[in-house]
Amino acid sequence: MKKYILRSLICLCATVVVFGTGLVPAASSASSLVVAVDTPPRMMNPQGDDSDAGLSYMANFFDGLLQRKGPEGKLAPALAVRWEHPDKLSWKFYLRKGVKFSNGNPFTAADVKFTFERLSNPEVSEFLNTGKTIASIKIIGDYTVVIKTKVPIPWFANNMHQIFIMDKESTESRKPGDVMTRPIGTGAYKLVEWVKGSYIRMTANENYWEGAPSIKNIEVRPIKEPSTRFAALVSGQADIVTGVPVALYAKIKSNPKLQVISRPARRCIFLALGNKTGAPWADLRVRKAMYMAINEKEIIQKIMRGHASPSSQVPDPPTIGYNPDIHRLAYDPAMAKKLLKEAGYAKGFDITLTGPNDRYVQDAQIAEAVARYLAKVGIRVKLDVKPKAIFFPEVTGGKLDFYLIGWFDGTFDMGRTYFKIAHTRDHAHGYGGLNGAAYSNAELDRALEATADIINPEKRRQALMKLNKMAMVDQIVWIPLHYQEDLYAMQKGKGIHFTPRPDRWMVYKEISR
Amino acid sequence: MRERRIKSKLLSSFLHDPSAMLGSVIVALFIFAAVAAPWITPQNPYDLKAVSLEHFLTPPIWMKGGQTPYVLGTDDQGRGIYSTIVYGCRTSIIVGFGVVLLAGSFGVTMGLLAGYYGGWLDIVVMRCADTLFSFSTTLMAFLLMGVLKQRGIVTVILAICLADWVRYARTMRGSVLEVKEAAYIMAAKATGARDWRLLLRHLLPNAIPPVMVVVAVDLGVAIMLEATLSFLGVGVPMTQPSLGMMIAIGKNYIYAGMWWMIVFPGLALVMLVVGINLFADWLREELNPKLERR
Repeated sequence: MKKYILRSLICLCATVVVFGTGLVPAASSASSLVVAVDTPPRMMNPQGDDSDAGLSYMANFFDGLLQRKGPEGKLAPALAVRWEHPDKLSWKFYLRKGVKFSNGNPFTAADVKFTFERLSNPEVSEFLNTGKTIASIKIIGDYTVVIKTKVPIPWFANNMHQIFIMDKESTESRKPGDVMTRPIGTGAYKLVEWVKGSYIRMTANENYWEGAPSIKNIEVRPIKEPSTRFAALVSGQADIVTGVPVALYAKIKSNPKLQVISRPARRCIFLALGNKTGAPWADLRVRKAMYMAINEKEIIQKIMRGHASPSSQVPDPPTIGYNPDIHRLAYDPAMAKKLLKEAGYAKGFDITLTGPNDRYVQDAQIAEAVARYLAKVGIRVKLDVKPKAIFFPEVTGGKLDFYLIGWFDGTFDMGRTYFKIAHTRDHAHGYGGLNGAAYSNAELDRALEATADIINPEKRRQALMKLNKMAMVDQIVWIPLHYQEDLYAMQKGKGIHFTPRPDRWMVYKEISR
Repeated sequence: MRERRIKSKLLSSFLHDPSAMLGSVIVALFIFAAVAAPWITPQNPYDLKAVSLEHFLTPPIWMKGGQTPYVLGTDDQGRGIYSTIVYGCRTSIIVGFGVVLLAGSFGVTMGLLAGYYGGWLDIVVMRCADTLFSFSTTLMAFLLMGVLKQRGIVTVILAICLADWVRYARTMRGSVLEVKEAAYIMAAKATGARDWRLLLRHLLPNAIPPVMVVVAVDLGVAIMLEATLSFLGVGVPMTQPSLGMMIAIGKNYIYAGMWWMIVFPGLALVMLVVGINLFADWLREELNPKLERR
């Protein structure tokens, strides 16, 4: 028996040593910053990872033709000084002169052409959808590019902040492995060292076209475990942490040395529900009943600790197509039971609710609460929550019935969103790729396709608002839950100026101290 | 005559070993709690209709804000910690005994056959065992859970068994090889006993004692393994109780000061496994022929 005690003591000591020394205090002086984030980078290839976590790193090493600035994410010039939309299919970009890549190569139209052609190469790009829509790229002189799309894409320019321009010469001449690990861009920062599983160090690009950034040295530490991230902040080893768990909000707030920053996020958390023929949930009354059975107010209060706001639709207010006239169906379990009875399911039915457990704020807990609300009106829910690495391929596979997911449109145009998540799955056209429950409604598809060539912003807004109402009120394509809130925490009184972005990217040129 | 003497010797040694008795009392208590769960808990925390968010994150009853009937407080979904622990022990014990039974019978059979027949059967079985043994059991079970798409107690038991049967097979084979040479086996063979009779009547009962030690130790190992898998999120589904899952949820709240969500399930798991190990320790000392006492 003594052996067991001894062994467990050794383990305990080892744990203390590992945790104690794992995070060596960093010297964070006036010109440097240590940030603990929730997700590590997958690679340093700006086209290879289209997740917001990956793009967040790339936005520091690279620039897009355009960028998004300010708390509202307004579209602004970056590597292009201005752009035109001469006809339905063409987009003309006038490029910035005198910009250099971090290896000294000058930035020209050839690099833009190279980058956009690279988008459709499945070996290096996750932006295949954008790549596939491009018909031709024409260079006029060294500093003008005309991109023609195959079909009208009204939101094309809105996407330009996340297509990062690569250097043609060095990307072609270097080995693929080198391109994946060493970024060469025009960005505000240059990579110094990337130690996988440990840290990413970057240093300011003194010749940055927008002016050298305020903080010279940045160290990013990806720490997946929220409580470990929190420990790094409390012990002063990190200046800013992202992804503060709601459970710790009150604790950080009561600490005089720390400050929590919350900002309403654009991401809407909702439940996608298929409508395959014969399924109980294809019946509109059943969809309504499921909607009305969920006590969203209680979810926000208890599970989100108040850090979310109820949503009645998937797009958030700044998105084109957001319709203020859509309201949530009231929480009314009695009515839900009545509707189920009317539809012939007084005894309920079985359904599986799938969802991630490591992607959104309190995702598994929300799914569990939803299962419980539905159980109370007689619907027997089997809960199947799993890591995002398993869950998302299932969404792309389109074989689910009912799942929890979050969404925000990086282009601020609901049309693009709906083509991806509401249009009938159509592999040939690239529609409905993320319509994981294979929802299909011919009427909605037609209405959506009709909006594709409306360019006039006001007309487009009207058309998309109408479409949105049709989806959310008439058909109940989804059951919306809430817009989540992003929570950050940082050291107080160290003179750090940090305003979170709507897209959760950490763009260090925007931070100063 | 001889058999009875051994039994009474075992019993008297058991009655003279306080730690073995303590261990078995603990285990008996847990088994009782697992069986009687619905009668000794105020709510079934995994009946979706019985739980409500209304009483979430309630501290234990003796602290400010504590509420009846949540003696040990509630978790972030409003489940009573005490009730969840009792139901969680049910899962632990089902998995523990399920693994011991399944992996045990398979492993013992394999060991028996490999030990008795030798030859290619022995080579195949033992090389399989060696291969499996070179991976850590936790890793093997983790990988198997990834391969088996379905989640549930049965899958957890299967995954642990597939990773775990080698312990039994090895021990059994070793023991069989020793017993095989005994005079009474030779005698039985000489009288023309059939193989199956030899295996079941003579070899199995005489070679099994060392395996009993493995059974006792493995019970604790299997329970820990289930908790580990559930803690890592690949064990039983969220809608089923498990001590490992409770600890996983609780760890998110340590820094928020809500210690009861992790401390109580942790204590329960430690008590259960220590109880089993106390008993197993005694059994090992008694049944190991190389450790001749007094």
